[in-house]
Amino acid sequence: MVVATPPSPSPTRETGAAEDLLRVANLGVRLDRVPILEDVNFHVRRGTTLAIVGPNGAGKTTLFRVLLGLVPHTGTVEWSGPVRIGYVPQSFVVTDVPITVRDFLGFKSGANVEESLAAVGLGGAALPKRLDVLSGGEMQRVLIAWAVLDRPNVLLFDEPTAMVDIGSQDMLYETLNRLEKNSNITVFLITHDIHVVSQYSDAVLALNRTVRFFGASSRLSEPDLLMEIFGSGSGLAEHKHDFGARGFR
Amino acid sequence: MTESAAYGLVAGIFVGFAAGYVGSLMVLKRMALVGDALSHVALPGLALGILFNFNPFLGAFAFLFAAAILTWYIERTTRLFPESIIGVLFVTALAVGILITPEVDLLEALFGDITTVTLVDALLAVGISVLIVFVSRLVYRRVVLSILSEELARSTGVNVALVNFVYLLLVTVVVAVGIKIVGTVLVGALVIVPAAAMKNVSRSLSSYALLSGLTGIASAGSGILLADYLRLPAGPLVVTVGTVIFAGALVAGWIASRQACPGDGVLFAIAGVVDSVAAVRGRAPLARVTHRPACLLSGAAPCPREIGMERWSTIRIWMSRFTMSSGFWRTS
Repeated sequence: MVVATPPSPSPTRETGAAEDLLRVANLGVRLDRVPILEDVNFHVRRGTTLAIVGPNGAGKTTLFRVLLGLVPHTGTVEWSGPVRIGYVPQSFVVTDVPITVRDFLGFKSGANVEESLAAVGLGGAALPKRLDVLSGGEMQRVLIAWAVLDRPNVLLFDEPTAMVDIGSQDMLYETLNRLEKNSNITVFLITHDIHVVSQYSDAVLALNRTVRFFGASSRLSEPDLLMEIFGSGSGLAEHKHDFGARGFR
Repeated sequence: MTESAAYGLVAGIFVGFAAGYVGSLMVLKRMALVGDALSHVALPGLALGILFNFNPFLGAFAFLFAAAILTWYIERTTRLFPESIIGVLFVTALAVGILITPEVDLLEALFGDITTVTLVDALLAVGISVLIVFVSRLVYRRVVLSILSEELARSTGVNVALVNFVYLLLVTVVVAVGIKIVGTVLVGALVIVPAAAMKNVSRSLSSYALLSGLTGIASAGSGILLADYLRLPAGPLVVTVGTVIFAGALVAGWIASRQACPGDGVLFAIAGVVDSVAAVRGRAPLARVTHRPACLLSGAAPCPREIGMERWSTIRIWMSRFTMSSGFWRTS
């Protein structure tokens, strides 16, 4: 039986605000009577990045669905002030639908499509392209452009680099870095890349149905903690991302 | 053309557009055969109308509406896909319909009869078709977004269950009005064939919906006119014209896929037809057409270059010669 580590205070960025944007208490989700999440407690400060890690089936995506208000749950999910959430789903495969980038981004009416595309490093030339001919990296950028179209103050990324190569991953994190630097957005990031977590997020929430760890992401390099979260055989190997001088965080 | 045929033509044009427009969503949702199956659910309603002497199409609509609600409810409360549910409803309704439809009226119920369209029928068909297109436009983006990712749609506030219900209702209504034009057996084709044809040549969502609707008009209009001219039933001719357009679009799509600019495929198909007509009328093929209109028509991004028609000249001249020498135009 695994005992959840009690939540520790979320670290504050040196320049960041100290106000909590989200407080989650005693959260539980059951789907078809099967417990997916149990007694989940954590809080997130405004303008910080929370990385969410855990094995497959740990309830990470379900947690996002709770935050989006898409699944019934017990416990409390309390946002401080109005939130506008931008969401990038785990899988988004377009086959056989004659839809262009312009069509897709145009679904959010009144939004500035070209500005959002520019923010993710894609020019207007991408607008007439069909979604089903985009590369994995381009598609992820379009999805990020979609997520930031209506100027959200919260971004949820469900494994944003799961389907792209390493070169495109670097570009995507650069994009996220730039977006975050330019606006005081709070980011929730589901990832399996421990290096990205430890280097580019403020706090980490390790889930496996219950909270296995919640605290400063720098602690994730501790071998004992890694083993507790991911089981035996877990460890860190040398693997560098180049996100520029500042890094993702 | 008789008065009734003229009413039928007007009704057919409007219903054709609405059917093509809604059909474009059905093809995207991979529910191409659902319209076909759903149409058969109307048969018991038609039969009851004939037996108890009220408008059979009211009965058809009532049965289709009930089937749509039942499908939507079962889909929400079970893990069955709509096509499975409609599949079960379809065979049940067909069996009941055949049992209770008087044999003498069965043929009209199955294949429609455009020659019996009255002014009221035509006005009703026009009004309902306009309403269908209007509502379809309202929900189109939401339906497509839920096709792409239900999660993404829900995260942006789309009520996916409600959108699916409205969509099913649209399919139901368009099938109900289409039955008068082509009958229960062929109405599935009226809905699906134009959309399936245009999917091959469309490069954007907006052009796809519009081209599907226009192809619906072309199929229904040409089919009904041909039926009047050749004294043949309209339903099968409407579907046949649609299938010919589908074959042409397949060829155009195939050519487009081999070209640097997708508009060329569409251009080729259009230019071939235009030149054949020009040849029949004793005129020289059109001197020069740019590929830009074809690009725009298919929704593709126009390429910066312009392609002179010289590129296609050999094939077009061959087509014109074939048209002239075969004497095809004289036989009709």
